[in-house]
Amino acid sequence: MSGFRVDDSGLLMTIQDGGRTGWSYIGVPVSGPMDWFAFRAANRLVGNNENCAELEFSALGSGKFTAIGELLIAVTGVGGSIKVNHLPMSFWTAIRLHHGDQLAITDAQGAWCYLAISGGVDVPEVMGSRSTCLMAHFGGLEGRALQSGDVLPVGSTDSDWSRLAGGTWNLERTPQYSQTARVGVLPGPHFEWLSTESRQSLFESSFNIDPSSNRMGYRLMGDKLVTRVSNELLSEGVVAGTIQVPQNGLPIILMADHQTVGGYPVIGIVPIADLPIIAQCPPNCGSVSFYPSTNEEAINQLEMLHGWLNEPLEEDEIWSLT
Amino acid sequence: MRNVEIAPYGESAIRVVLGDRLDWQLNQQVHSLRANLLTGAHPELRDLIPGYASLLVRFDPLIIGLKEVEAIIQEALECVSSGSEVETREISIPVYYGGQSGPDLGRVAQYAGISAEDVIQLHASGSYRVFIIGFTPGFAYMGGLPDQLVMPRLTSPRTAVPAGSVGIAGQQTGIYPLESPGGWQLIGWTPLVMFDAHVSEPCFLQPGDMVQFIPQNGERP
Repeated sequence: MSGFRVDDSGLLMTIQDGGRTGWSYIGVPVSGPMDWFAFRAANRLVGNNENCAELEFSALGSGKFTAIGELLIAVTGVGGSIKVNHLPMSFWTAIRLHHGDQLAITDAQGAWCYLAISGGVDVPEVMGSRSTCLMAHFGGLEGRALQSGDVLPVGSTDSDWSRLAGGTWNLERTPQYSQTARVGVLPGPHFEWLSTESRQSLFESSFNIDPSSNRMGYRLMGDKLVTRVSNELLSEGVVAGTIQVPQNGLPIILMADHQTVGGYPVIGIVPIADLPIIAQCPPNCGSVSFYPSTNEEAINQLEMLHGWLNEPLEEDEIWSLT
Repeated sequence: MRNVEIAPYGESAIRVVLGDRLDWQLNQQVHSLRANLLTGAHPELRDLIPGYASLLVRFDPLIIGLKEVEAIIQEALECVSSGSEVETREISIPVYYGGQSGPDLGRVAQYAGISAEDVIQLHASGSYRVFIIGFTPGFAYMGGLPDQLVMPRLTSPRTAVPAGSVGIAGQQTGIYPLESPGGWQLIGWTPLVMFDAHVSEPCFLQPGDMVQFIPQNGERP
């Protein structure tokens, strides 16, 4: 049986698969990865189905693991230092690990890293998913964040490791990750509630990500946005990417573990194609600015990213490490 | 149906608004619309999120277009009843009121200017509609609280409200399905498991249920 041991879980490390859909009507979030692109690319590099369970961990800490048995892994994210037994390796590359090999990811950029293992992290499904619901303590590993000492099994796989090992992703075919992120906004039902000055602020100023931000939502610090006041707003469904503006004027972008309904004004929605970019904006030092986008543009972007994820990994990009 | 607003919500969702007030008939129409869309079995529709008087329909824009989804919604709307013919489940929830189970019962009685027994009687006499389930998995927002029991939230929320706690806040009553921080006035506790992710029907209540609270005597289990 193959698996791995967590030696350092950093700041927050959880098991996430593609997400848990269809349960919003009873208040259960979709969860899944913060950066769906890096998540899926990692799975592709190791020959997994794109929704296979992986580890997501905060780029602010580190992630250290010991291989049990033979593994094929890949780490994706904005970038950072990755070592196998103190030998430097690369992000976005399929790497063979042998029993006892030590994998260490440190000094990562962005906000989230993904570790995919060929065969997927083999924990039971709950409500049809292996994603962790931290709020309600279920899914993933016992519904909690991983800790040092946790040992996790890996599923079996018949993908061809000899062909996959050493494969690298074309880094030009990744989202525009940046410390000064630029993200589209589609108009929300309460966009008109923004004062004229605030509409200007939204599109002409930049915001920092408040350090209290988490998997449920990113709070933005910057010019306060003023909206029409209403006590009458009925709670309604929201999605990842929904931009809410509470009374304090500080916008919140809902993320993977967001509550299923909300009662704050919704001024806009971040397109799915841009969610990886905002997700990888690091707290404090990163900044984000917005531009008005359209559904057509948003769908074109999404088609492009999907195209990249579904392209065959080119033969001439695959070279053997061992 | 009159005055239904259907509009895109980003590139991968459509927002259907049936009204703008807290009204159980409007809410019933939301659940009826959701049921119709589910019956239609459209795999391209990823999620249907009910609000008080609205439904958010999430779809995959790479396999279905906005116009097609709007057409599916229009068709489903045509079959939405006015609310009276749809089957509503009636659910009884046993509650141990007061004491350790309801530490704020005295405070609520004082605020309302009535006795604790009267608070229990009033709360248990009501028939509450589950408008939505959200904010946390399994948290049912129930409307229909008698006016006398309307009360604001705690000024300082508790850091840990026990699972099963029955509370009131504003015009609503609810049950905490999981231990969590909370600011509702706690008047009782139910031994029923309101949410369990590991069973086939994880949530005990469904949106649209009519709920009655049944005061229990004696020691709680």
